Amino acid sequence: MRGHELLGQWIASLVLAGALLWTTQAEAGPITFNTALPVNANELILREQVIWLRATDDPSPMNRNLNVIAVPTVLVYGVHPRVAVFGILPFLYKRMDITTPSGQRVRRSASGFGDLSTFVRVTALQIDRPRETIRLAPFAGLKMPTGATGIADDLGPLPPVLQLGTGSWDPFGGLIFTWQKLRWELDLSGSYLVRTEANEFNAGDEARGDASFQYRVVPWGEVGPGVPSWLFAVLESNVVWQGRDEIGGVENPNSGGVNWYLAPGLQWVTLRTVLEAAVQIPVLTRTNGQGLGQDFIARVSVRVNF
Amino acid sequence: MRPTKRILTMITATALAAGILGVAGPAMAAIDHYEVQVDGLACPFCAYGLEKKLKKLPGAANVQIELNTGWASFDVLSGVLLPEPVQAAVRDASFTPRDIRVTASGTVQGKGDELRLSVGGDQTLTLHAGEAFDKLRALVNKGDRNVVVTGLIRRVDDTWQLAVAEAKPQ
Repeated sequence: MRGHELLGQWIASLVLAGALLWTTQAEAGPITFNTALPVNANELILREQVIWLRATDDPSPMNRNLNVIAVPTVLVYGVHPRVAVFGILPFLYKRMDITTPSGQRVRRSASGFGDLSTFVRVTALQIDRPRETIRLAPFAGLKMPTGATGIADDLGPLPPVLQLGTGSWDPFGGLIFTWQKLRWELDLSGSYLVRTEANEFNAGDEARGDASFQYRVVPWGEVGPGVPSWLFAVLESNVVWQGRDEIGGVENPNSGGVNWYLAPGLQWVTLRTVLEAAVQIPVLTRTNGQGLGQDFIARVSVRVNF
Repeated sequence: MRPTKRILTMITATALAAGILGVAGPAMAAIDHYEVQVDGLACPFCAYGLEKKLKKLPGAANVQIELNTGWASFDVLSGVLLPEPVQAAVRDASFTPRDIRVTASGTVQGKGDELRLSVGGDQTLTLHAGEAFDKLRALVNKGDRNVVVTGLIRRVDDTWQLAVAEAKPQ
C-alpha cells in the first residue's frame, strides 16, 4: 500500500472520530454536535446512537470500500446546574473491502471498543426568559487512547482506518451557543481538537464549525396543555477542517482538507426520551491528495432522561 | 369518680365532640399549593428535569408543568414547604424561578393593614395590598381569622409578602 493511500484513509478515520467525538450532547438539541442546554444537578442522561459511515469513492486502484458502524454510549452527569461532565465510549465495527495488487478482493475488519472521551461543559452565560433561553457554554476535554491500535489479520497489521483507537491523547475544546424558544432552536458551535503523536504518526488537528436549526412541525400551532411531545424538522451544517498529518515529523501533502456536510433530520422529543435520525451528506469536499470520498454518515439515536 | 379520672373523661369527651362537630382551634398553617413561573423552560425533554426536582420536594404532589405558559404547579400534601427550597429546586434544574403564586391557609394574626399569616416554622407571610385584601380585612374584622389566601409572593428583606388576590374563610 502506498504511503499517500494509507494516509488518505486517515481522512475517513478522522472524520469518523470527529463524528463520534462531537455528537456527545445528550439533552435535546442538535443531532450531530453539542448543545448548551441544561443538565440538572445530580441527574443522569443516557444517549445511545448508531452511526453508519460509508466511504466508497476511492480514486486509487485498490477500490477501497469502507463501512463503519459505531455505537457510542454517552453518559452525562450534572454536577452543578451550570456544570456537566460527559463520557463517551464507542463500540465499533469497521470493515473494508480492498483489491490487492494481485487483483484479489479481500475483506479486512475489526470490532471492539474505541477511544474513550470525556469533557466538562460549563454554562458561562444564561439568559432565561419566559419560554425562552439563551446559553453560552465553553467545554474542554480529552480523548484517551483506550481503543486497540495493534490489530492485525492474516494480511498483516490493519491500516489505521481499521484500528479501533488512534493511540494518541488528544485534548479538545470549544464554545457552544444555544438559543431555544418554544417554536425553534438555534445552536452554533466552534471547536478545536489537537491531535498528538502516537506510533510515530501525528494526525492533523481538527477545527469545526457547526450550526443547527430545529423547527417544531408537530404540533404546528400553539403548544397544547401540559408537556406534549414535539416533532422537530432539523437542518444542520458541519464544516470540518483537518490539518496535514505527519509521519516521523514529515508533513504529508496528501492529507487534511476541508469538508462541508449538510444534515437534514427529524427529532421526536417527549418528556423522557428523544428519538432522532439524520444523514450527513458531503456537500463540499476539498481533501488534499488521494483520500477516500465519503458517501454519507447516517445516524439514529435515542436519549433517555433518568 | 375520682377528680383525676373525671378530668381525663372531660378532656376526652371535649376532644371527641370537637372532632365530630368540626369545632376547630387555630387552623394548621401552611402553604398548600405553589405555582412557579419558570424562565428558560422551552422544551419537553428539559421539563422532565424540572418535574423530577419538584417531585423531590418534601410533601410535593400532583406536579404539573405547562410548557405553553412556562408555569409549574404542585400541591403540598404534608409538612411545611417554604418558598426557598422551591426556588432552589428550579435553579437545580438549571432554570430561573420568577414569580411564585401560593395558596396558603392558616390563622391571620394582627389587625387593620398589619395582617400576617404563619406558614410554619418561624416563617410568616405578610399579607398586603392585593385585589382581595379588603375582603380579607372584612373577614378578619368579622372574626373569621382562619382563612385561605392566594396570591403572588415576593421576598422583602427577611419576610415573604403575599399580595392577596383571593381570600376566603377556611
